[in-house]
Amino acid sequence: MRFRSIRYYVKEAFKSIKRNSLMSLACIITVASCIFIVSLSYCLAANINYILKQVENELSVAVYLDDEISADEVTQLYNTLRELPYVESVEYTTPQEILEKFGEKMGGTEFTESFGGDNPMPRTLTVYVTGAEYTNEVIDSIRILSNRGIEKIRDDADISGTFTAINKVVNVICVLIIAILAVISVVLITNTIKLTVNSRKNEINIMKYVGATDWFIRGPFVVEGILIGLIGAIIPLIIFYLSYGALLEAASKVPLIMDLVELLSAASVFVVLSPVSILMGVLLGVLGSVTSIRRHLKV
Amino acid sequence: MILLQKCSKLLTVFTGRKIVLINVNSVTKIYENGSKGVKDISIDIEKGEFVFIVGTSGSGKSTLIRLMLKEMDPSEGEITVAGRDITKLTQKEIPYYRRQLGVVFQDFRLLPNKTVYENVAFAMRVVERGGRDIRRAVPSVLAMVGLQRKSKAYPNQLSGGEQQRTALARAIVNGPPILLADEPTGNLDPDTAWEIMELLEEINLRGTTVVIATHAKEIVDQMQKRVITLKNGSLVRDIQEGGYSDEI
Repeated sequence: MRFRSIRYYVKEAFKSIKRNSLMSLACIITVASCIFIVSLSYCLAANINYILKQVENELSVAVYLDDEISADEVTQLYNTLRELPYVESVEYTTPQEILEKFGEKMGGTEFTESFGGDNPMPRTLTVYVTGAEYTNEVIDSIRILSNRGIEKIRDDADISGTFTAINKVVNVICVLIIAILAVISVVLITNTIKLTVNSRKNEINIMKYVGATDWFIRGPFVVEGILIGLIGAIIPLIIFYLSYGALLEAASKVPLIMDLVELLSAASVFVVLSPVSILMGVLLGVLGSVTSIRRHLKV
Repeated sequence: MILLQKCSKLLTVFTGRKIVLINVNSVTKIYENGSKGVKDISIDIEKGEFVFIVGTSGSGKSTLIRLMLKEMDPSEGEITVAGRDITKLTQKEIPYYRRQLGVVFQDFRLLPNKTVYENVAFAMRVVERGGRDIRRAVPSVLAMVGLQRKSKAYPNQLSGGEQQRTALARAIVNGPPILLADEPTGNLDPDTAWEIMELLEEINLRGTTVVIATHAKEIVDQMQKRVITLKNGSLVRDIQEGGYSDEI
């Protein structure tokens, strides 16, 4: 393919978009909506995954100790737990530390002081597990190991299960939405370019008789598809970038949300989203144009 | 160029060697609806010949031209052009085959939104010829068909004859060895039709093999060229120098 041919394709593609401006606009809007929803779905799925990872990292098994065991026994238990398989680390927390932490969330020193000298919190060994899926195994190991000195074992397995289920559902819904919208986009682009092709049937016919290759004839239509796809991808990306930035800023002003979870930064979302959206737009455009011109090349 | 053509003809006469450029061998074309376009036709067309294919409507003239254009394939038989069986060409090879042909139609088939110059240049552009080539070839071919002053006019500003001249210029601008014309004078008045035929003859004298499907009796009678007569899809007459048969 020669440079002057590419120049010719681009020139013809722009002319064609201008000639069928209304239909091209409809096409761009469809691709843009498709890519916007794809972006939204991706962003949702990516953030849920990210939150899940955070929760997973925080997943722990709390081993509440009873008052009867001595400090030496606690140290011994601490060392034993650390040696267990799938255990990442073990952290010892005194009743005072637990109460202070709890108090911070509940309203500061007033809350802590309301207990007087009587601290109801137990001494706790927090066992961090290497992965959510190993939580039950670790709990079983602790139970087999010893019941002495252990008042209660509490874990976050339920939370993890819920998050995994939500994530799966969101992923399936996202894939479905993306597939449906992709089909709609291809159909619309195909129709738009069909209009262009029909209005230039005569020209294509002459090109065929003069000896133009199929790729030379396809060229302007493919470029038209690429242009529609590109514009259709860039517009939602800009809108999405601005709205995501605004969302992050709004979330940062609500301390409760930021304490509980951290959302993905705009940069880490767009480093994936931009190339994927642009590629998707271009592919949709090319697919639409190649489909619509196929019939006319058989002369 | 004319001198070269004459030399080539003289050489052929002296050596007695004839180069068959188009060979139609036992070709039958049956359309999808069952009607027969042409029936068992065999023709040899030599390099540099000027051939009329005549017959009434539905006699198979256009079918034969369309078969030579590789617009469709014969149901039986083969067509060899410059030694190559075109029925065996792949989809990818067809454009390169068509670059050896110039085509002219009854309805001109010009692009209305392009000027005379652009219409002719378009034929060069789509076969990826360079700008310098285009700027050199188009004015010279427009001068040959007598349209140098109309190069900036649009088709709707031209007479029928001028439109067909533009189509002729477009057909020959890439220098094809063969020119196929399907009823090139069908939409023209007698005087203009003559001008077009004279142009076609001049193109032939410059070395291009010209094959014309027509039912312009007067012109065929007067030009005394090779005439192939078709009737109901069959070849009924093939004479080297003759007129339009009265029997058809």
